[in-house]
Amino acid sequence: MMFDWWRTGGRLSGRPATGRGVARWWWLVLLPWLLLGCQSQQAGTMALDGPPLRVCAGENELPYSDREGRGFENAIARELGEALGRPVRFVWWQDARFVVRNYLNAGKCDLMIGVDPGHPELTTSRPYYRSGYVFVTRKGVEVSDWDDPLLQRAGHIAFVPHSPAEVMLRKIGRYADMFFYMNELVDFKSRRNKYVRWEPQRLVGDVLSGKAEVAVLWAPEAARYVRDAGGRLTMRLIPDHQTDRRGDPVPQRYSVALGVRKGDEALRRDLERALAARRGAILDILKAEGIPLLPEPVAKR
Amino acid sequence: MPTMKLRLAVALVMMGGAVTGQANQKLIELSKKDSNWVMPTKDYSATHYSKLKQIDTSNVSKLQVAWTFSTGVLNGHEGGPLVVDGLMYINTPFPNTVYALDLNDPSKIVWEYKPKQNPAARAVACCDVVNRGVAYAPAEGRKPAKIFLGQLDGHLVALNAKTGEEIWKMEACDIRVGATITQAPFVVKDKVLVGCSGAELGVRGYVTAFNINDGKMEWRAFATGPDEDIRLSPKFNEKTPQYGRFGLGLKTWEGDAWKIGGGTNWGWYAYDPSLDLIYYGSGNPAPWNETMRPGDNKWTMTMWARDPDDGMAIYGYQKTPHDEWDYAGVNYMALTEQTINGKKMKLVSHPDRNGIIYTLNRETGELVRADKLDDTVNWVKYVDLKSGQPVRDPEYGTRMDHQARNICPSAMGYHNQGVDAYDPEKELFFLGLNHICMDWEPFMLPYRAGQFFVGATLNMYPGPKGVMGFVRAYDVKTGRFKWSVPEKFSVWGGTLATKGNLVFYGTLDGWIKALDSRSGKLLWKFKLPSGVIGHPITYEHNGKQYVAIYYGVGGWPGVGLVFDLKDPSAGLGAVGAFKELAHYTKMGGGVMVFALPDDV
Repeated sequence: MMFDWWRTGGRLSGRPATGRGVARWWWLVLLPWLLLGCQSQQAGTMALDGPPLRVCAGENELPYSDREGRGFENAIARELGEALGRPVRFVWWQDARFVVRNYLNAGKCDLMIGVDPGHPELTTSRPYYRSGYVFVTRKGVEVSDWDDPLLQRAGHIAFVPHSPAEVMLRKIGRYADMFFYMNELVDFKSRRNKYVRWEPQRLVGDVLSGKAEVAVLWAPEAARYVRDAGGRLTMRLIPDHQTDRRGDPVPQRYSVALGVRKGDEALRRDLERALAARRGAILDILKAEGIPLLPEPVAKR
Repeated sequence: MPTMKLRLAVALVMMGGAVTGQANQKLIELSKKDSNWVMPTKDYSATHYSKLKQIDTSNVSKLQVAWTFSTGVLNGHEGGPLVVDGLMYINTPFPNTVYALDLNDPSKIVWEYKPKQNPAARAVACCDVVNRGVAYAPAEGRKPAKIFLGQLDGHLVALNAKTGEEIWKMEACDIRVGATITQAPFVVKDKVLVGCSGAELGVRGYVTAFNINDGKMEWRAFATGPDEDIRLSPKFNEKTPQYGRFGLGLKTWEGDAWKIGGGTNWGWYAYDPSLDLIYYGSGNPAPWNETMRPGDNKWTMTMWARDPDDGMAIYGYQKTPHDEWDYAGVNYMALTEQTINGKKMKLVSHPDRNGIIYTLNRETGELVRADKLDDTVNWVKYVDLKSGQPVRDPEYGTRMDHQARNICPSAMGYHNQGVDAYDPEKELFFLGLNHICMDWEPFMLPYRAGQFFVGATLNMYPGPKGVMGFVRAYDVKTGRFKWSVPEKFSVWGGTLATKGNLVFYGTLDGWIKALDSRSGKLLWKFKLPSGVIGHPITYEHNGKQYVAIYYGVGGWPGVGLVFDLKDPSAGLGAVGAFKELAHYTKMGGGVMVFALPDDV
C-alpha cells in the first residue's frame, strides 16, 4: 500500500491537508518560535566534548547538503551538535537510494536531518518545520494554481519526477509533453538501477534564463536560488486543494522531521531537546534560506 | 478519401516494384553465393548458415589465423563484418567508423568513413555505444552499390560501397529526445529500414523506411498510439483476433502515456519475398517501472509482420503484455520451412528475451509453439497456444510492494541480441543463450517531502545451473534440445553454422569455438585479444574458406569493463553478474580471420 503512491495521488503518509491561507502563515509560525528563541540563545556555546554526532549527509545535494557544508541541513546539523555538546561528523553518501539500509541501519551514521515524519523505516522527531510546493516564475509572470492557462501553453515546465508535480502534470495532460525536457534536465541519464539527481539550481536556472516558463519545486529546494536571483524570480505556494485524476487528494504541503534508526529513542529524545533549545537559530537558518514556513496542522480529533 | 490515397499508393508502389524488384533479386542472389556474407543475418531468412564445407569436423582443429585488423576502437563490437564480391566491410561502435578492405590484400584499407557525430550521443546510449552492423544494397543501372550505416546520433547514412563517399544522410532518430541508432539497417526492395534505441528514456518506437537512392522517407510505423500511426492494415490480425485488433495502441495505455511508451526496435529483421512480408520485434514499454503504466501497453513486445512497400501490419503478436522485467522483444527472427504435426509450414521462430522461443505460422501469425529456452524460466508457467497469453507466476512479478528473488531470466533475458544459426538439413537451431537470474529490490527515499522517488534495483547473478550461458541445438518440431553445452559466460553474440557440420561462436571471455553441430562436441578453440559480443561469419575467397569474427568486449554484459564500474548494481545490474569477466579479458577491438593452412 505504502508504495502505491500513483494510485493515492502521490500521498505517502496520508497527512491531512490544511492551511489554505497562503498569506497568513508567517506570524503563526514566528510567534511561538520567537518566544522560545531567547531561551535557546542562552544555551549558548558549550564545550563539544561529547561523542561525535554522526550525521548522514549527501555530498552533492545542495541546497540541503554538500561536502563543503554549504547546505542548510549542514547548518541545522551544526546547531543540533552544539546544543548536544557533540561535535558533528558528517558521513557522506552519494547514492540516495539506500541511505537508510547502507548508512543508517549499517551503523555508519545516526541521524538524518530532513525526513518525512512517521516514516516507517525510521524513528522520527516531532516535525520541526513545514513548507510547500511552489510555482517559480520570472517576475511579472503569475501562476497561482494548477488550472492556470499558462500551464497549458507553457513550452517547458521544469519539475522533479516522482513528486506531486508529476502527479499534477499527468492530471492536466502535460506530463508526456514534458517528458523529454524532464530527461534533458539530467542529460538523458537513465534512472534505472541508479540514483539520478535533478539539480534544483538547474531547474530554477532554466526559469531565469527563459528556457522554462515555470518550475514546480518543493520550496526548500528552490528557495535559495530564487533568493539569489535578486528579485527577478517569484516563488508562489501552490494552494493545497489539489486532487489527481481519480479525485484523490494530492497534498502540496509537508512537514519535515529528524530521523534516527528505528528504536533509537535515546537519540530521538536528545534531539527533541536540542530542537527545542535551538528553535530560534534553526528558524533563522530556514528564514535566511528564504524558505516559506507554514504552521503545523492541528491534529484532528 | 483514404481509399483513393491507398489505391494511388498501391499503384505507385506497384510501378516502383517493377523497377526496384531487380535490386532485391540481386541481393537475394548475392546472399545465396556462399563466397559472400551480404547482410548481418546472412540471408533474408536469417539462417546464419553457410553451405561452405572446406572447413569441417575433420580439419577444423587445424584452423589458424589468416589475418587480423584492429579497428582502433575499444568499446563493445556487436554484429559482424559483411563480405561482398571481394570486399569486407567492417563497422565499429561509436564513433561508428566504417572500413572497407580488399580481400586480395587485406593489409591495406581501401576506404574508411569517419562520421562527424553529435558527441551527446555517447552520453545517451544506455549500455555501451555498440553498433550491430552495416547493410549493403547492390548497384542498379547507374546507381552505385551502397553501404548503409546507422550512426549512434540517430542519422542514417548511405555510402558508395566502392569509394566510401557519402551519398545521402537522413535523421532517422532524434537524439534530442534520447533516441539513438545501434541497429544494423536492413535493405528490402528499394528501401532501407532502420529503428531507434532508447525505450529506456521513453522514446516511442518506430521503424522507418527510406528510399535507398535518395533517402526520401517512404513510411514510418510506430509501436504505440493511434492505428494510423501504427499502420494497421484492415486485415490486421484477421486470422488471429485473439491477439487483439484495432484501437489498442491507445486503449491499453492510461491517458496519453503511449506518447512516451517505448517499444523501440533495435534488433534484427527478416524478409520473406514469397509472402512479401518483413518480420521484426518491438521492444519494451516505458517507463521501466511497470506500476506507472497500467495496461497491456500494446504494441510493445510484439512480433510484427508488415508489408515492406507501405509498412502496413498484417499481424502482430504481443508476447509479453504489460512487461515488468524489461524483456525487450527485439531479438532476431528466423524463417524456416518445417513439418509440424504432419503439416509443412512456413515458420518464423524468435528466441525472446523472456526465456521463451516462439514459433508462428508466418503466413497467418498463428502461434505454433512456445517453448522455454531453459526449464528454470519462472516468470511464466506456460504460454497458452490458443490465446497466446503467458500464464504468469506472481511470485516473480516486479510490483513495487514486492521484493522478488530469483527471477529467471534476468532483464538481460535468456537470449539477447545475438543472431543464431539454423541448419536447414538437420532442421536444428543453434542457440547462444544467457543463463542469468535476478533479484528485484524496490526502494523509496525517506525524505524530500512528497517526492516519492520510487524505483528498484536489480541484482543479477548466474542462474541455478551455475554457469552463465549455453549453446543448445533446438528442434522446433519436437520442442526438444538435441544437445546442450554449458559456457562459463553468456553466449552473447550468436552462432554460425556450416555444412561442414560445424557451429562457431565467440564467448565473452574471448574464445572463438567450433563445435560438432551433430553432438555439440568441442573441436577447436582459440583465444582472441578481447571478449566477443558479435557473431562469427564465413566466406570464400580465391577458393579458400575463411571464418571471421569481431573481438571487443563491451555491450551490456561488458559495460562494467568499458566504463570501469564497480558498484554491482551499476550497468543495469550487469556489473555484479559479470564481475568475474575482468579476470579473463580486457577491452579491445578488431577483426580476426581464420583459415586452414595451405597443406590441409
